[in-house]
Amino acid sequence: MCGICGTYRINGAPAERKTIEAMSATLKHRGPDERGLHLEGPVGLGHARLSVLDLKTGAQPISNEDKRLWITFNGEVFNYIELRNVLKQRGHRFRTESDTEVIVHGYEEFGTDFFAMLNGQWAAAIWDGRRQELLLCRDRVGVCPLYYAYDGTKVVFASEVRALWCEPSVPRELDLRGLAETLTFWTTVAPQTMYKGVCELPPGHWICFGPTTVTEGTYWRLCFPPNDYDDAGTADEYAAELREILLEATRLRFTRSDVPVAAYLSGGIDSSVTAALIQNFTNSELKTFSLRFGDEEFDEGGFQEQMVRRLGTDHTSITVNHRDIAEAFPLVVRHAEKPLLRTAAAPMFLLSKLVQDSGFKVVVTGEGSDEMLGGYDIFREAVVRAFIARHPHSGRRKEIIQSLYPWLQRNPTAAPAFARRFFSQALDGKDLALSHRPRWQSAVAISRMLNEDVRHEIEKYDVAEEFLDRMPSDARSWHPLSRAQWIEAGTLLSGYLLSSQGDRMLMAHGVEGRFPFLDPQLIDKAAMLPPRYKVMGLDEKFLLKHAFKDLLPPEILRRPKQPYRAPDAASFFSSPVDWVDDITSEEALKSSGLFNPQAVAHLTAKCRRRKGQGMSNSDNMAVTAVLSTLLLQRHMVEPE
Amino acid sequence: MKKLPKKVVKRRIDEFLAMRRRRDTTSGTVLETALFLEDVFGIELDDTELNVEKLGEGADLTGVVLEKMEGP
Repeated sequence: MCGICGTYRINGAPAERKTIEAMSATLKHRGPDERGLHLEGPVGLGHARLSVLDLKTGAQPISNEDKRLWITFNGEVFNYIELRNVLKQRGHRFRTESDTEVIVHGYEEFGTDFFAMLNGQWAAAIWDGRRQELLLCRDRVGVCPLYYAYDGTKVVFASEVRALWCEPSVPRELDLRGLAETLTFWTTVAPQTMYKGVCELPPGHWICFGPTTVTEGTYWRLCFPPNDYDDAGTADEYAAELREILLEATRLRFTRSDVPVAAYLSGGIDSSVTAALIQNFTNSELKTFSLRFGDEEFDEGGFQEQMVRRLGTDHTSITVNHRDIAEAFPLVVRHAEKPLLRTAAAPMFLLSKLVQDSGFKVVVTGEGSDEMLGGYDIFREAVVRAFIARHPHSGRRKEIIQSLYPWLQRNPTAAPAFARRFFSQALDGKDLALSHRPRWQSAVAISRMLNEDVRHEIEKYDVAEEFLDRMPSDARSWHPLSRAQWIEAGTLLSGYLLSSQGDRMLMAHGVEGRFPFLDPQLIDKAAMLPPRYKVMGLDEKFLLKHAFKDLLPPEILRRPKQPYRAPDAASFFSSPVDWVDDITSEEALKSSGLFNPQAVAHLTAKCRRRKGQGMSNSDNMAVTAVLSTLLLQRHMVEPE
Repeated sequence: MKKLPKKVVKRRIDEFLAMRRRRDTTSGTVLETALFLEDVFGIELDDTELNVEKLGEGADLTGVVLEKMEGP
């Protein structure tokens, strides 16, 4: 993957070389290997390259045969060989072996319909010199980032927000609506960002800026069948199909690279499956990487070692302690460009550094499996809440919570708080967000830390209902699990998992992630699966486990799902951290204007007293959100 | 609720029971089974039916579903 950027002055004024060069320079961590630039009248395209495919002739920006179309591209098209053959048959001539050139010819041939033919992860800008149009487009689920600012006279775009600010007219100011979304969904949701005047192009979309018009389109959206969809298949039949699709998705992502490809191995089912499948396509020892935690509560080292022994990989791990997270966190927030409610991105940042230091540029990982195949607790909660909602006054039904979360029986102090969270929201079976209401409410509690003016401003936005208005019109006919999957993919998958914890942490060290579970064919097939093959009873990812039971040790197959998490408050308060003290001083908080100094002082005093141990979920999220937002304000928004 | 052939009902229930055996746990059997039957077959069970005799291990789950599908 790479970094892309550019400007288009719609009034015809010439693009400025120094602006494009400055923008590319801010993206050098994304593309340390080469820089490229194309200036053509009012448009300037920039590129910072991470060389992965066609190392010799793949430099960008690149054009079609008559140089009418120019592209700057970030990402990978995994089916570029097949598409190139199709385009050659239609008379297109290629100068390089790169996937990028396929897009420019494909767009020339098929227009925006071509995007639906791509199997890959990408963000691109295409300049059409004859029409004087600049088109921006992005992959289906939002693996690759793309931001833009448009004021009616010019368009500025880039892979990261910081690059946009090389153009002085782009405002550098926090947008409280972005904060409102973060305190609901745990992330902003495109097109909303944390910054005024800056939009994120939504996944599966394109937008085209011409001399007098702006047009937008959607080439793909996640859809599910109605709940009464007549499925005739058996678990064995669906498992065979899943196996075949995932094998091919893994082959494309492992073999289509001109540099060595490694894999992450977390100790969970998803990365274990992808690493095991990779063994089909190499005779060499696979290089794998994993995270370990000094804090035993979060460590999965035992499961990782088990898979390493089974697969015989050349494995390297990094052990992350509280101090490591605290020290990395300011840089992590700077790269994420968003507030974070969890510290889990920080270990991923340290892991990608290990990959870079080990000489690798590409890793295959298991991301996307939980969203597509029903791995998260929130999906099990979706079917449980629907079960309870059918007879809301039945005390008997509520007992199922203890089967969902057996730890509640062992923790009588946490149980009442959990029950309040779980049941306080009306259990309306017709509610489109039946699954997500408790989560959305949990983050709203952080707003108690805000100063009064900011809180009042944020309360003006009904971001949850506006988001639900975007759901497809037939969503009411879907199964509750499908609705939960749609919401999860539209919020946390693209906004957080693939972004703050994904692309940003990988590309901070010039490492490209590849995700077989987000292959378009797999996504479409998974969406059509009967919901019972995702969450069967209370068992998550039923079909995945059924399909790959011969590849995984029984201990990994049977282990309860452990969500990837890292220590939050304990990282910042187990021992003094200078920047935490500095940023939460009364003077700094007053100067920030965002938070209520007394409320934050009360929270941080509690954290210090307990050294961050034994904090509630809500306190852990609140302190991480406060610290990350203050860091964002100090390092992103205030002039450097 | 859509009526389904007996063999389809039985197959879906067998897949559920196989999953439970693989998971190697019997805790919460009755409620999880009730959730599964309601979710997959669109039937509804009242509180008096959420018991081991009707939904526990060895119970005739196919019979429960077919009876509900036939109606009173």
